Amino acid sequence: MSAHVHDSQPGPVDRSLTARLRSRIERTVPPGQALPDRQPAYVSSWIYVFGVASLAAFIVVLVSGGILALGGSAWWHRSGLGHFVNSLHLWSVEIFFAVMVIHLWGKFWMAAWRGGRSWTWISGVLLFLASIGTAFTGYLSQTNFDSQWISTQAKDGLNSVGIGAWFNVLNTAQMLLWHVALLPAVVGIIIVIHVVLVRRHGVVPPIDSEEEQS
Amino acid sequence: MSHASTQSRRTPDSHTFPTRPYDLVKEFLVALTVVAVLTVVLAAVFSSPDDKAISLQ
Repeated sequence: MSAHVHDSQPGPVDRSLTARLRSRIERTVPPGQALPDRQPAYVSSWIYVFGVASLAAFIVVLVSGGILALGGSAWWHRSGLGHFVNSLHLWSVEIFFAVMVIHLWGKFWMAAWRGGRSWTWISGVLLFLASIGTAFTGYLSQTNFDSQWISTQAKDGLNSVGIGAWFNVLNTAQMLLWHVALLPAVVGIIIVIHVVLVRRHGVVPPIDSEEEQS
Repeated sequence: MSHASTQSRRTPDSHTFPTRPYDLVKEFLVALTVVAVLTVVLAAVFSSPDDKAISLQ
């Protein structure tokens, strides 16, 4: 019994890497704010739904793209079902970018980087850029005339900046790998960081609630 | 320089404001349903372009 009590006391064991990591995780988001069932009263506008709408669209993009990838890169050219799944993937991406851009403009006009939220804003910018890169490699993975045209237009620009040997847009298999595995993982990881930062700092208060300090 | 311009403005902590009930999980599930249905409708109506690849063979 006393040993159990002793274990919970601060001591040398609390400086272990495990204890430090646990402490860091516990301090990342204030208690009760990881998944709160209440929000500040000013969170009462349709503009606030576009962040979660972006997340929902990303899920639909992942599911439709995953089914498309399981069918193989040429499946959708010869199958009606495959073509429909390709259409689902295309239109979910269109919705993803539409709601993400509305989210971006909404947060821009709220100046949502205020109050120590600069990394929330920066991670959102990185997320936008990574999403554009993922979409571009999707264009290159279509195995049709569009991907032929786009890749031959893109290769000269990429070669001129010296990355064509490592990022070869004429290599369909390489572009498919970037599109279905590497870049979605990057987008997914940044989404987690972005959402955790939002939960850490909370939704940015309105501009007119700022307090003046001399 | 005016007095006002020498003052800095501080963004208050969002956790200090009055709160109201907000169901984040329900919001996500509704958004997911709306996006999924909209995706199916748009895909069924507008499909997607697929011009055949060209080859010298």
